[in-house]
Formats: sequence, C-alpha cells, structure tokens
Amino acid sequence: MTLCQTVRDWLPWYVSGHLTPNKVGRLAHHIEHCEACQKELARVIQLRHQFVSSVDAAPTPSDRVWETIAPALESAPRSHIDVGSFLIGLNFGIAAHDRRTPVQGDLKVLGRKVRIIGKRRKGA
Amino acid sequence: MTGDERLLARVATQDRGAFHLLYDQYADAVYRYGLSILRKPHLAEDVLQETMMAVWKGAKSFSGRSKVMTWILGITRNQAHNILRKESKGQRLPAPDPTTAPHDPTQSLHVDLCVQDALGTLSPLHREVMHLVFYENLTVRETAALLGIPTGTVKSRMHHARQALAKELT
Repeated sequence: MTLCQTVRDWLPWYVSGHLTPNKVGRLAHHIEHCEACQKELARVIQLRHQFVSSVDAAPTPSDRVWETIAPALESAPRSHIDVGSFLIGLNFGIAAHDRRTPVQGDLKVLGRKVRIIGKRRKGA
Repeated sequence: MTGDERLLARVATQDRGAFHLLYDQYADAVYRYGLSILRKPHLAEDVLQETMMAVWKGAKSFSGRSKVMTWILGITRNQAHNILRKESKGQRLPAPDPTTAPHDPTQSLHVDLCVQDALGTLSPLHREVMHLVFYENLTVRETAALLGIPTGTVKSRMHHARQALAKELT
C-alpha cells in the first residue's frame, strides 16, 4: 500500500479527531507535499459536512414512541428480592410495584409459583 | 464511571426517571441509526421502541467494556436487523402510519435532496459505516466491534463508501 493510500484511509478519522498524534504528524507531513491528498482531504471534509447535514435534516421520532414505552414499564416491578434454597427447591420472592397491588410475595416450590401476598389479577 | 454509565446503572435498578432521561438523551441517535439501516421512518420508530425496551430490561448486562452509546447502538443494530428479517419474510405489516412520516414542510425544506438521493443509492453496508463514522464519530475500533468486522474491513468499506457517495454527488 502506498503512503497516499494509507493516508487516505486515515482521513475520515482525522477529520473526526480520532487519529493518534503519531498518525496526525505523519499525515500532516505527507499532505504538506502531496497535492492529490490535499484535495482528497478537502473532499472528505465536504462529504462529512453534507452527510451530517443530511442526517440532521431527517425527522425526529414522534412522542408516540415514548407514550407506547412508558406504560410497558409499569408492569415491571420497581424492586424484587428472592430468598430461598435452590437445593431443596424452595424460593420466596417479594416485589414492589407502583401500580396494582403495591407489594406482592410469591413462594416458589420446585419451580411452581404460588402467590401468597397480594392477589393475582384475573388474566395476570 | 462516566455520567452515562451512572445513568445506565440507575436504569439497571429499574429507576424510571433515569430511564426517561436516558431515552431523551439517546432517542434521536437510535432513531437515526435505525433510519440509516431501514430507510423508513415508521420502521425506525419500531427500532427505537424495541431498542429502548431492550435497554430497560438488559441494563444490568452492560459490562462497561464499551461506551454506553456504542452498547446502545449495538442493540439498535440487532433490533433493526430483526425487523429487516421479519420484513423480508413478510411477517410484518408493511403499511406505514402516515402520522409518523415527515410532514413538517419547514423541516422538509432543509433536507438536501441531492445528498438524500445520493445516500439512497449507497449500499446498506456503505450507508451504515458512513453513519457510524461521520455521524456518530466512532473510532475504527468501535466501528469494527459494533459491526463485528476487522478494523481493516472498516477502513476499506469506508473508502468504498466515500468513493460511491462522491461519485453520486458529482
């Protein structure tokens, strides 16, 4: 690979400020003497500007996305604690919710969950 | 720990206020990356919804090996490709919701139609790498990790993407 090709591969990250100081030095030294790479640098700067402007001009997401997400969070418990023994197959879990019954407790016996605190809603 | 990592740690404890802040901070980036892959606003909104729910459920799994932004963009990419697969299998209804389409005439006026047209001609791979490097300012390594390709491939893909876009714009 020629030095021109190497330098041109670095250009996108040079214009975004992600090139190491060592590479920046080598690039600057090369570009100072290479008219073709100077033109290529100018072209990359222009392309990047056009690309960013184009993406920025695109529409932003509608508020309805958050309005769809927010209610889905309510069904998840705010906090949840499990205690028990894996070996004997007994597990007690307690969860705090914002809505529905605020505190719910479950006793899990050999993988089967039984609600012992807080009523289970129909269809839940 | 960075501010974003602290915010994500709060989301991992199911802190809804923190999640709302995180949503406000990343929604545009997720949506625009989704749009660069799928090119359809209603599908990009689906990607945003699926990605944010995945972040809410999976915040605990963030290991800190990458930046929060790169981690979220990785989830975005997976969700976008899931939707692409479903689209190609015909499992999703293709009908877009007209209210989610760009309709603000003042906004549309600012769109550089030449560049938009040129971007539309790029291959999805070229458009994606250009979005990550030019728009999201990712490093070579971050881009490689996100796309799951070697750094050399990132550089060559970016080179070909630049050439293709420049050709369309001249």
